[in-house]
Amino acid sequence: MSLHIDNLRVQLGDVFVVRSAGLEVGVGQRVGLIGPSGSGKSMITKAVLGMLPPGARASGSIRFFGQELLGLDERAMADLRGSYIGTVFQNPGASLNPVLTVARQVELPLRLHYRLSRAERRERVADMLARVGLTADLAGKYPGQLSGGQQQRVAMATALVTAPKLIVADEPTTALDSITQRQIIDLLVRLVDDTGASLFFITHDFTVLERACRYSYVLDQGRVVEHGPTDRLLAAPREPLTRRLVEAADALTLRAEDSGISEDHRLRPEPFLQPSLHDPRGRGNE
Amino acid sequence: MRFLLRRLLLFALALLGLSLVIFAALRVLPGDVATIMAGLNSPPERVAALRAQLGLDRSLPRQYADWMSGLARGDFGRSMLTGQPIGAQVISRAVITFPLIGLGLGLALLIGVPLGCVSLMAGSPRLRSLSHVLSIVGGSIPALWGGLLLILLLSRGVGLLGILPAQGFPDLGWSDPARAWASLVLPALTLGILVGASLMRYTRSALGELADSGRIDLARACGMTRNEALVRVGLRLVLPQLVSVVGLTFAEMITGAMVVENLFALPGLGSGLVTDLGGRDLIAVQSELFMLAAFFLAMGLLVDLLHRALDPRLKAAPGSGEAGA
Repeated sequence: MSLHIDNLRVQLGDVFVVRSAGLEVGVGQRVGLIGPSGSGKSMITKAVLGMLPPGARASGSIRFFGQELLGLDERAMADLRGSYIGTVFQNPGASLNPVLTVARQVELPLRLHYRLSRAERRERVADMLARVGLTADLAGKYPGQLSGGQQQRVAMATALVTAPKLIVADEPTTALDSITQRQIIDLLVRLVDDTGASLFFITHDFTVLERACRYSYVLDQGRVVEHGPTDRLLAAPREPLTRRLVEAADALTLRAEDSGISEDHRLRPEPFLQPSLHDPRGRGNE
Repeated sequence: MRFLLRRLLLFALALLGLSLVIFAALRVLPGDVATIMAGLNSPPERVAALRAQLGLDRSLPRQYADWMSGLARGDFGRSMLTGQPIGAQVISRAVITFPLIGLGLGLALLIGVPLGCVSLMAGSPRLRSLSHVLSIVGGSIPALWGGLLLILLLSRGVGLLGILPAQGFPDLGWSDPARAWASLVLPALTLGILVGASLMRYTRSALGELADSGRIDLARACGMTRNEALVRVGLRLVLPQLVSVVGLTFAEMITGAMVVENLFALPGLGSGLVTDLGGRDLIAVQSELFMLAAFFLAMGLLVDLLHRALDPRLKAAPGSGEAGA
């Protein structure tokens, strides 16, 4: 098992933001965690990464390839982060270092965890940039000179450059437009599958989750309320919250026939529109 | 390059404007310079002779042009008090004041930045509180009182520990560098504590804002501990703003230097300015003020250039490269 969370509780002051959460991510699996804002998704992510805010207390168990992470000191967790666990955050514009060039940003985990020559680092960075679809001329640019999609590709390259065993993707497409979202998810899925890593994908949007993960957990008020294959959760949600999330995703899905506007007025052809969640044609690559 | 040229042009324009303000303040405002310099009870003949000697009987534009052409040639005129060329007098004072400010700033950075980091990053809440209290106390003590306390604690003769000279500058000046630096330590420490407390509060506040940001999170996700991320990424990100704050504190340091030089009997620019003002040597004051103003403006220019060099966002134009992902 790549990641095994059991009876996780996270307390901020007197408030439990995560109550008895449990989930599993198998080796090479892509598993999603979905829930509305405030459900505790981010706290679970931070607990896995050992980056809980000062004053937060976590109990229970988080095992990474059998090793208990809760209770590890900051140094030990920092040694895991960036080498064995890669992370993609939701807003690359707010997380990429604005004074580092793309190449310097991507090579940072290599510098922190490996003793490589400059040439070796450059070679790995160039290879990684090519794999995320960025041209070599962007290596010398600063994040502020890139589009949102390009920035997220840089963030993915940074997370994957050390070939980690687990990728934690914390709402990696939230800050992107719908078309770029699909490109980024497809790229992330392909990169994760190519490297054989596991993916722990956190989102509040079933539209996104459907493309990324076969199996998903639904989180509400710090508890896992339902889990199962993602297509089963979409087709036959059992819990009211799951139903609401599915309905919200459906409402966001634009369908020309529901808009009441004639097809003649469409600016772009249909493939640019979000696929319907319940339409088998729109099931992405899963 | 265009930025540099634009800033140099602005520098020249600001210098010109300041020279006009300083000139006008001493000439146009009520009160006759020659009467003030000669003494309010001097006979009219002496005042007239002084006015002619100083060229004050010429038209104001002519006086200004004479002053500016003198400045351009490096001729600042002669001091009415000492009879020495003002340029040489200013230089002999500046070689005390600028090392004093430099040392004071160095100590302020050594005190302020590390303590600012400690007050945010220390694991012990007591240590965090202690450093926070130190910043408030350090910034609240007036330079005059702080200097007196340091004299009572550290100076030879009256101090408890008696390890540093209490007052004055060695007669041999910088020919005896060890004694010259030693005589600057207590005054510089007085300035350093005052300014260091401001820098400490700024460092703590700026780093505190970054501590929970995505930039620190990403640095940690790459493999840094929280404290490593704050020092290696956080400090680098606040450095451009810190440079600007340090540039602004120069004004505070000059003002502090006037008090501190008088307290420690250092013949620097600050105490010299006070002496010249007291002796009504207004022509010397005019040139000294102009040189101080030029120094401030030069520091502002340097800070702008440093700020730009340290923050590539100011140089980078957004929107280049591909349009989508």
